[in-house]
Amino acid sequence: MGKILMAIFRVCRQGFCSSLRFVATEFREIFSALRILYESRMAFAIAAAMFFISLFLIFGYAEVEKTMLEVQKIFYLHVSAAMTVYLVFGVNFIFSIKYLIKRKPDDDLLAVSAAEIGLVFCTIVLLSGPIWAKYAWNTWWNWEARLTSTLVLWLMYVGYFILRSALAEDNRKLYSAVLGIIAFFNVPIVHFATKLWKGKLHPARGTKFSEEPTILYTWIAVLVAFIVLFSLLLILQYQIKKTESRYEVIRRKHIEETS
Amino acid sequence: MRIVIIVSFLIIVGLVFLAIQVPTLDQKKIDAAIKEAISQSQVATEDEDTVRQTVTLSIDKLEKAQRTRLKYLVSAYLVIWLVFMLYLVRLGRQQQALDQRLAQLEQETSDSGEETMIDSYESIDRTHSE
Repeated sequence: MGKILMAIFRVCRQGFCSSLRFVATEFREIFSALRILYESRMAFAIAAAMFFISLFLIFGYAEVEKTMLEVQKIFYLHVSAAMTVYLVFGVNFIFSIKYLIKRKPDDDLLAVSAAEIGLVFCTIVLLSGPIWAKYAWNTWWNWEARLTSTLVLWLMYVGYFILRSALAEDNRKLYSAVLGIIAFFNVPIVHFATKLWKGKLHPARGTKFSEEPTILYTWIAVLVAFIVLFSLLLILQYQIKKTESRYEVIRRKHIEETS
Repeated sequence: MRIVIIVSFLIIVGLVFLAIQVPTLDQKKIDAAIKEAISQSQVATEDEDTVRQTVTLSIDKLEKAQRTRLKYLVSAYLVIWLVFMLYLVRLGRQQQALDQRLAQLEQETSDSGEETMIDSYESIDRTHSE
């Protein structure tokens, strides 16, 4: 805990470069401190507190946007979930590459845990978006570039799980790592879809929503809460998957010994 | 897990309740404002009813629009909450099923006089670290 506070203090006092050096040298200790924090109940309390603060900021602090009025408040969760999707699938991408290089089962477990959480966040984006669209565009769905590419992204990761469940254990990890890498290339397409296909419906980056400081600060707070939630869920999911794989090993060993 | 679901459900119910309670304008205040506006302008007193009707209609229209917007807002938050909760419930069930399977295996291994689960875990950890 002390190391984390020290890292935050250094960022504030000495700037980004020296703090980065500090984080790099003390990485192991910071990671173990974070893990202890997550393994305790404190992590849940922090995540819950961050969500309470976020809700307070959304409904009590952020100003009502002038064009979309109250409906704009959907954006805090919708956009934050979309940004978290990029991060989550990025984690899946990194661990898929790592698995292909090192062939460590732990990397596969982390990749699949991230993909599962990413699918949840992507579902949130795909479900909350049409509600806003119905008010703004008077239609639930429109085959616009960003919407379509997000749906394709979601379908690709659904395919990732179908592939995992269809394959035998020997090939499962390898093929799903390859698919995880391929599927991630859709993330930049989703992000730049409005620019690439010049979509007029979806707001492009840097729209007036971010000009109002209260709206911007609230959105940042919600985004941080989502990232914390993602990290917590990732550790939870990873621990369950790791225990499951351990269970399988012990069970097989037990069957072999008894037979 | 249950606490998280209950607390978050209460928050969502609170949000829905707040959304339904659209602050309606007090009719007495509207009447007073109309009277004041008419007295300050040069509208004839016989036109007072027409002005009142127009103002009331506009207010109704605005309140209806606000109710619609809040309906969309609450639906979106409800959907997001539902997705999260379904995922959390799934995680909880996964964990529960795993605990049961582990307990069963523990029982089986102890019955056959083998090493305990903790011993097995430690031996796997040793293999991993090697």
